[in-house]
Amino acid sequence: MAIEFELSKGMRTARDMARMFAETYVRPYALESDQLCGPHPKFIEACKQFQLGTGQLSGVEGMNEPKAPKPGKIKEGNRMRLVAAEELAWGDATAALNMPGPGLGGPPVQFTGTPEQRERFMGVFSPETYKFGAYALTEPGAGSDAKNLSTLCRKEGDAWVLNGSKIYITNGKRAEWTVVFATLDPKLGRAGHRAFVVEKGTPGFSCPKVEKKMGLRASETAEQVFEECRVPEGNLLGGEAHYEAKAKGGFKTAMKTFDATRPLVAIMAVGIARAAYEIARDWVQETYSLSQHTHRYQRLVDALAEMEQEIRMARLLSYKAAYLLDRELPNAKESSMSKAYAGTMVQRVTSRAIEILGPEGVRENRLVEKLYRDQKVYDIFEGTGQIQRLVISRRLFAHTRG
Amino acid sequence: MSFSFEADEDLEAIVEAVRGFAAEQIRPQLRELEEARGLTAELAEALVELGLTTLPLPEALGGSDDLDARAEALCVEEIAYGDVGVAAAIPGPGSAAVAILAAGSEAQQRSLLVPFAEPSDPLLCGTLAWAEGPCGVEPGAIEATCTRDGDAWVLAGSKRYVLAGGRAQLPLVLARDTSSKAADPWDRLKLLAADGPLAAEDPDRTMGVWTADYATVKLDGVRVPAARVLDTAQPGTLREVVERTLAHVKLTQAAALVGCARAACDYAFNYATERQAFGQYLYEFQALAFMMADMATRTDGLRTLVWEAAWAFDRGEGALASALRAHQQAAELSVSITSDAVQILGGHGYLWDHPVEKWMRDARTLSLVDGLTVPLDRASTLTLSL
Repeated sequence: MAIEFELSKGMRTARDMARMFAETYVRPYALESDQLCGPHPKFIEACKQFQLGTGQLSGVEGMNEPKAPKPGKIKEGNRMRLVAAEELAWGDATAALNMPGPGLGGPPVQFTGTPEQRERFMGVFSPETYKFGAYALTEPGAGSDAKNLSTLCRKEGDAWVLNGSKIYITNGKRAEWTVVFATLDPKLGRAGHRAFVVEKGTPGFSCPKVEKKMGLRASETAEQVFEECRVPEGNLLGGEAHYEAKAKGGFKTAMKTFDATRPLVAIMAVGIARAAYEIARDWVQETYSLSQHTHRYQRLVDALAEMEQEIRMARLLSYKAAYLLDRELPNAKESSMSKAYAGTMVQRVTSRAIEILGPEGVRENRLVEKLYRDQKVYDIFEGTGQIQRLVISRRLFAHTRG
Repeated sequence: MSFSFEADEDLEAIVEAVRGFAAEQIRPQLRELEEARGLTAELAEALVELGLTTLPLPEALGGSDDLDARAEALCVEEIAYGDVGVAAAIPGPGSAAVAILAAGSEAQQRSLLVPFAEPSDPLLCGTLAWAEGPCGVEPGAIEATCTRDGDAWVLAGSKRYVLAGGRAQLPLVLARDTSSKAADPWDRLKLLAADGPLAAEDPDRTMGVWTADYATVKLDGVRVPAARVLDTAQPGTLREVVERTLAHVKLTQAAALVGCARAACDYAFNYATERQAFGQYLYEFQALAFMMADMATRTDGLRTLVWEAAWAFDRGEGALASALRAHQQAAELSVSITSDAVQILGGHGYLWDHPVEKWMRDARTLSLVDGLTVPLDRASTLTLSL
């Protein structure tokens, strides 16, 4: 092993395929789907044609990989997902969210679900259908402090009864099922948490609102309400036994998901930033082709150089976090670092790109205008920038804590 | 084998050794070295023995073929972790070796570089007498000249910001050939290895990196034997050699700044676990914890950029662009990180009792002090693809 930055064959293939898909089926419809507030029919068609789904991105499909790689070989699944995700996000930040499949609901069903549940819930997705799963954790009163949730569950006969509401649920309205987190009693803290799979059409379950957002407009973000919603006991994720074991074993699995998803979110921010950088770069090249000796031109080129440096640094930080994950080494600090840096980098880069285009940059028919609206949430979801800094600083001083 | 953020075991062992050396031999005497404005012969001797003065050289010339630019970057980073001032003043041929290896004949490489393998004086060093003013290494900014006179070249003019200016025994001078009519201004320049130290006119007093002495040197009347002039006759060669050498300068400086940033982080983080205010340790204050999280994140990110640049240098593709990218970020981030470190120590950080004020001065100084500004090739920036 040596320090080496050449992409492997597998990573290059993943990148090239994702780039082809993004260039052909994503980018051309990015502005239109933003106006439509939903995926473009051509995109949906392409997802079906190429049998693409979120499973590939979240790594759910890699679940059957042998745990230990062949001797002398290091897994690279996490890095491959990263290079592909950057390309998709470059095409349109909502592409990954509009690819059919279980979405964020996939990992808990795969990791925690019983074999029967895995088959029942993952079985609804097939390459030909355009169907979704969802994941509902956030509540009006529990965002960053997710353990503070107040959606209640209680056992009644052979069912669980849910009461409460969830917000910011990606694909929350159209999902075939949603993994919903609830608590037996808020006083129990994490030990009281239970996860259920709530299927579309369950009585007492409703979606009163699809949010209007600053960006990611083509992605559906819904509110979910549970009023005396009865969920069959077979939909308690992992079954009772799982929670008895978990009470002893702690909640490491829940946090492990973040170790993989944070670098993924970070690299999507890199994809958005790169898209903005390219637009600004091409703009400068075309607009100033005859006036390269003006002060303004030279200032813009310096700005571009700096943007490029920051994008590359963000990319390397996420690659490093994914690399550690592939090596099965601890990466919680590094994954938070990648997300913390990328989250603010993409704000700086997209803002400067707009500045470079001047009055043209803020017009609605310019992609760069949409990129600026889309990017802000990358410093918010999957742990805000502040949560990342908490994680990082706690790790920095872990040795001094009792 | 591809894509890895880890050094192999052999290199890791070397880096480990350098790290230990820096902790024991460098860190404890950083103030003494600074005030002495140079390395002691003992320290230089130890650097020579560890092979740290010949890192850019191949095995045949007294270096090691196993140690590439990545190895050099890691070693320099560790030395700088001990103290960046020492990293800035490592004796040996330095970046001059890169130019000589790129354009020197076999005989020149031997005669100019072999003396560094077992130096008579551990402080023996080479230097680049290239810059003349704030415009750095732009061919139009080079006014020093060289004129053929029999079997030697006679130099005229002066050079500024020359590392070890008055004492470097191997000054590699960049000068304009008065007889050249080449179309490309780069091709009118020559690289001449002067035989022995140049006359220092004016030692520079700089804000930081006092251990590395910079000076203005006079070239007037210096005769360089023709045998010590590098062969850059082929059009385009000189520019290539200059760019590769500058890539090395920028890369090693960036590596040193990473070491400096790491040192400042660790020093300040450690302080934050010992110092209390309002009944809490400093690290327990979120305003400081977040600042430190950002310092750590940027240091880590910068490190990957520098490693990538070292890899590009070894591969020989895009070496200058990668090195400039790493260097620019290194300059910017090391300045803010060392300043934050001082901030965490508060008033204590401002005093000589702690090294952070020194590192803050060193970081601000190092990336600029040699005047080797590289004009950003604007056209190439615009075609940069990510």
